[in-house]
Amino acid sequence: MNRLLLVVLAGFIVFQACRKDKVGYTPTPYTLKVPSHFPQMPIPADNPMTEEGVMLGRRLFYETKLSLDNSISCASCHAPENAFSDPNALSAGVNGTLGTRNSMALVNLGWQNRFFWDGRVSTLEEQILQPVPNPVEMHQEWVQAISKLKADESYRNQFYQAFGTADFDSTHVSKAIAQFLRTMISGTSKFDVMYKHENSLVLTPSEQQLYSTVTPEEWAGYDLFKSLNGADCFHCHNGPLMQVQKYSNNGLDATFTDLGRGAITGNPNENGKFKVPTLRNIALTAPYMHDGRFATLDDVIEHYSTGIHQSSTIDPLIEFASQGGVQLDAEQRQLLKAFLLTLTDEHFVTNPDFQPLNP
Amino acid sequence: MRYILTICICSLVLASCKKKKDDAETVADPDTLTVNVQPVFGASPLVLDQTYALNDSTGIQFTDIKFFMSNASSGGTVKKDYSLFDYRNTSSLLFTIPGVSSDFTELNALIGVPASVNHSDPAAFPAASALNISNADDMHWAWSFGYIFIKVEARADTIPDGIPLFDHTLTYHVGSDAFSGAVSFPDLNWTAASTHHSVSTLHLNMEQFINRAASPINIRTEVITHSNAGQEALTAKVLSNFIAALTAP
Repeated sequence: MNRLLLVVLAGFIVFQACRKDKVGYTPTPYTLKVPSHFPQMPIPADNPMTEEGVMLGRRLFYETKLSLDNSISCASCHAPENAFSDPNALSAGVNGTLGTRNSMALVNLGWQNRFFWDGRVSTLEEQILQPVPNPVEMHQEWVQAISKLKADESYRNQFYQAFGTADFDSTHVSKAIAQFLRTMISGTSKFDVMYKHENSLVLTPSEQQLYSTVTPEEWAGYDLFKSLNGADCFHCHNGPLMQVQKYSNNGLDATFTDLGRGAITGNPNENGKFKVPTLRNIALTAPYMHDGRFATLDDVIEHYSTGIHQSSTIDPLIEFASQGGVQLDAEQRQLLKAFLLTLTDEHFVTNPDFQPLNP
Repeated sequence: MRYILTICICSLVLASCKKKKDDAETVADPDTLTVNVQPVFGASPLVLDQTYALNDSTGIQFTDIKFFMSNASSGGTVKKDYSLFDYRNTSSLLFTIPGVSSDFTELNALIGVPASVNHSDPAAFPAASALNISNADDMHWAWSFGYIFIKVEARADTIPDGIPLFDHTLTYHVGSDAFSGAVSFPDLNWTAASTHHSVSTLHLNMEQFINRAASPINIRTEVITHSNAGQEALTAKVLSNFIAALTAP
């Protein structure tokens, strides 16, 4: 009789084990706050947004255990006080080892289809996997990083709540951080109400109020920004994201020390091209360009005014390259800068949901 | 005997909770049609960034070719509402739709975007629509001017001295409601790519685009249009040459 009970019990256990719809965790769907003038954000089917995943990703974003000597986290090179960028031209990894490029500001990443300055990966989840083992960044094998996280019971619980497993790996870490990064949406700057007004989109009362503060200088700067015979910026910095999804050689050098996109594709026609970055929060994300060569916005404006270098792959949209640039005078430069400052989104940079959980 | 019975019951339970195989294996693939556009220079497929010689020994390198096609129809039925051709990023593909070639014998369409939707919020179109700003990307002007209907960008070497120096840029951006144009191909040729997939390929002859006999583009003087006021003549020429260069062989 006992053996009969044992067999029935074993069958019951096997039956329960193969019921996949009763796994015992109940993640809560996360509702993204997408501005009305933004397109729908594409979310990967294998990484749906959940409250638990976002919270875990937020914790991991600030987690120094991801680095070899527990000294740096994602936020070390994407600091919230710098609109999630690095104030240093080149970011320092473990032991102060310098990389070769400036850390890109993290904003509106859910709408990007290529990541890094050279666009070498096409998903946010893939991007997040790279800095941990990179010798000039966190310099730690994923196995070691995961081992450190698994030693912490609170992480085991959080991963279980987010993904239904305590036996997590690097893919779960990248998914969680990706979920957090997708929540980092900037769409409430003064520029946004200017954009909505220009496109005849309805402004909310608070947006109306913000709109009333736009100065004539800022409007004049916007006109210059869009003008073919002015600053001519709009070809690459366009739409609600303030960027287009392409690689461009914007005339920084006549010869290339960093091949950029060309190093990835092996196509010499792409040498010296880099991903076009967004201009959102641009006043807060100095220094500028892929190598952080320009310390100020004035330096950047000077480059496009008189500092363009011709080369074999220069973007045809740098339309005044043969003259060295768009030749803005002092007043035009001030107006353009006034417009660029409208891209600062105070709500975004001070949003408590993006700050460390235990500062 | 009771043990055998119990084991049988357990086996049945286990078998019943195994996930069923996908029945889709037995369903036939749906019929699909693909319309491609193959840019050519003369008789050869055009390669972006590659140098081609124009009649006057000028060298030209095309760097981008994009355009919108709207309301692609056959027999009065719209087969595809909006599609975006982007040679650099999606190669020769214009669109793929469900259907069979016998129902798509001709192609009538608009090169551009109808005025009725040209100034709508580009974020409001469905995510899969070519007009959604995520897909249109740099084919939209962000201040309600609407979509860029045709984009041809190139570099030229205008000094035939044997020294390759492609420092002469050409930027042809056609848009605004006045500069869309109709195309009509009464006999589409379909080729079976597989049992349930047929392909029809249009040609876009970029040599003809520049050197069209009726209205050649002088790349030394006609170098830029963004369809602004004062650029109407070149904008119209670019549009008409582009349409003339598009053929259904």
